[in-house]
Amino acid sequence: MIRFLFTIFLCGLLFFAGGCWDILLIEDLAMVIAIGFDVDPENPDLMVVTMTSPTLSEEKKEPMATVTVKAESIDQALHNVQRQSEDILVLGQTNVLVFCEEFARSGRLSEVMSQLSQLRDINANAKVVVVKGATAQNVLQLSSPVEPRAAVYLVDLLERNHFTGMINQATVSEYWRKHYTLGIDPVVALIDITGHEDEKEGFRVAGAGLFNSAGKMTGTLTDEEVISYNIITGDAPRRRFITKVKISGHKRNVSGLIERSKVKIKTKIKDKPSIDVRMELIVDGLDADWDANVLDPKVTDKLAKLLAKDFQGNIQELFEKSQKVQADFAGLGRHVRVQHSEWFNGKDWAEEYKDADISVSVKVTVRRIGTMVKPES
Amino acid sequence: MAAGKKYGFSDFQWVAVMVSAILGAGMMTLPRAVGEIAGRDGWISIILAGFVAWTAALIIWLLCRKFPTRTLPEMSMLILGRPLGILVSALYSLYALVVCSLALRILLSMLSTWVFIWVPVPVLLILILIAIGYVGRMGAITLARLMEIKTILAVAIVFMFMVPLREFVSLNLRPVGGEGLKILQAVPNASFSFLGFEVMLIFFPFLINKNKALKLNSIALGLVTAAYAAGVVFVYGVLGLEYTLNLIWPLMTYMRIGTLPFVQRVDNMLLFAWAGLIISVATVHYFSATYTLATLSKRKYHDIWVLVSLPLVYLLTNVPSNLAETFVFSEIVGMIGYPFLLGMAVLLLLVAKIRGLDEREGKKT
Repeated sequence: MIRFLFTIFLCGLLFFAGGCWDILLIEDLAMVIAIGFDVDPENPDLMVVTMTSPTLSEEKKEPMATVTVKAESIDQALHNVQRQSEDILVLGQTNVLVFCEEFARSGRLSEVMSQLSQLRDINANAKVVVVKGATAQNVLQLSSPVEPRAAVYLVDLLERNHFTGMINQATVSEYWRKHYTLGIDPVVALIDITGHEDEKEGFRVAGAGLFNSAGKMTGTLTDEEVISYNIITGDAPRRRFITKVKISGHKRNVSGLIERSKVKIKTKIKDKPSIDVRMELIVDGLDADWDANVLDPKVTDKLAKLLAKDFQGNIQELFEKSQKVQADFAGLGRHVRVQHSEWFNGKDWAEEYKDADISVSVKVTVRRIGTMVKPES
Repeated sequence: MAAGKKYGFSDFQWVAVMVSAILGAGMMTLPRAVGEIAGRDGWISIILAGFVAWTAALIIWLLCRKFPTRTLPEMSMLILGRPLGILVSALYSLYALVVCSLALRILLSMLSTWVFIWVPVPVLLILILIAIGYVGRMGAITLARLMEIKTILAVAIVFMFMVPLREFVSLNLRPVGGEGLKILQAVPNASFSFLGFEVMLIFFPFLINKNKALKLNSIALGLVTAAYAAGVVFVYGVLGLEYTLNLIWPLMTYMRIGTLPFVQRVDNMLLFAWAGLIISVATVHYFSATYTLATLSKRKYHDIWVLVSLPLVYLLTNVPSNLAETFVFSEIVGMIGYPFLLGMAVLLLLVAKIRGLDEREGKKT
């Protein structure tokens, strides 16, 4: 009898087990897949937050439900959106966070990221993106002919372009880590809206936003510069480049794949940090518009040297640009910290980075050139 | 029992019980705890703490091998006399119940923070206590078998740990040794996470190959040290020291990075798997405490001791009123635990030596 009662008691308790107690049916959830953040033009203390979630019902006309609210913080925004939602808001499926440029430049992006880090259900692998010349609200309300659900289209766009090396990887967790770690600053993806003035219906990746150690977006990289960024940081599975190099007095199109890259960074401290960045790149599948026999080793060597010079110049310019905006995108400060930790401990790296001497040298090895013996004959 | 088959812990079961008694809640907070003192060299402090724990385990082993068929209450009453023996054993039981409660409290804090936000904590606690009580009543051999299965399943956790490693940056761990003496300063804190090896005092008589005990203990402590050190290296390598120090549960944040094709939230998977490990810690200590109490009552009434001690664990689990107090409480237990256990073992060894007590030589026992 006691055993029977004990069994009944145990079975009864099962109803109170975690899942049953706190049951949430998927039909009752509003799974936010994208959140947009804009500056409120009427009140600088407020932000305009747009949340979009799939409707998950055949009866609904629109595939996505988009709600826009004003709030002081992300928690308040969630409260305000919840007040307008018939379902329970959850953030575990949030795949992308969109910020308008003004918001990122004001430093409020960093505040929001900090608030988000305290939300336990936020997807730490969500993408972070800044939109140029438009609001995040615009982006999330666009209806592209390719994919009417803007948030889904945006996530796919970011993922595919990261895979092909067109943009850097920028996720929520990566932002948190780079923001907190000394000697490296966050970089996020940049997009802009495309289409006619009256009918803006799509967007494209447009480079990257550079952040300083205070969490303000202080500069941007063009889409060509992002390729150099990916070469330095190794931050993309496939890195394809397109450039023009001067061969025999003519500017010629050259493109190829960076198969492997090795970066060695040596630092010295005199009156200021001196950083020597040495790169070795293995280039494969090179295509060059050049009327030369590519099976001639001299031609390959010449192309390798010309490419090395080109990369060196581009990367040097990239570092100079980042120094001006005090954004150590490549984490050179971490190398300085490792190699001169005593010196580093007492310094404001952002200030030191601005005046550091950075020299870049690149060596290129060309593995293969195209499929034709004389590509432009 | 099959002819020729000995009744007791096999070698693997011994290692499993030792690992289960140690490896648990410490892993969740260790990266921050050691990082606050030893910076990015925290993992070195953990390896040193592993040596400290091994030395402490060696002292307890020296005591156990003198009395290979006696558990702590039996040997303490023999060496110190009945009143002092009962006092020492009762103190050990209380200590083991406190460790059990603390492990459960940290588990509950973690579950309430990350998944069961709206589930009342008492419901979770009662459910876990029922499971612990049930296992506790089944006896030492069943416990060992369960820990054996759990240790094999824990291999899956190792694979889960690998998921975020794509983001590993070795620069976050360098320069190695740069923190100097701070590495040593963090050793006491790190050592607290190794408490649990003392269950040897209770389980030693169950071990079949007692001559292998030292080797098996070394393997168990080696595995735990490797797990703790690897955990800290992985967390620092992926999250960076500065970010880690700002997190209450660094390991959970670490596990939030990266996904698997078939599992989007690896952190939740880890949490459930790790809950099993922490419940194992609590179960082994709970069994040690109740078995000690049962031995004091002439090896009778273990079933009753298992049941009557559950409310005490429930109450002890609720002693810290918040998370901050839980961490303070766990530090206090660590600070008291080492001196108490080592003091007790050394005292018993010395008195046994002076009185010429040694069961192996058949002296006065």
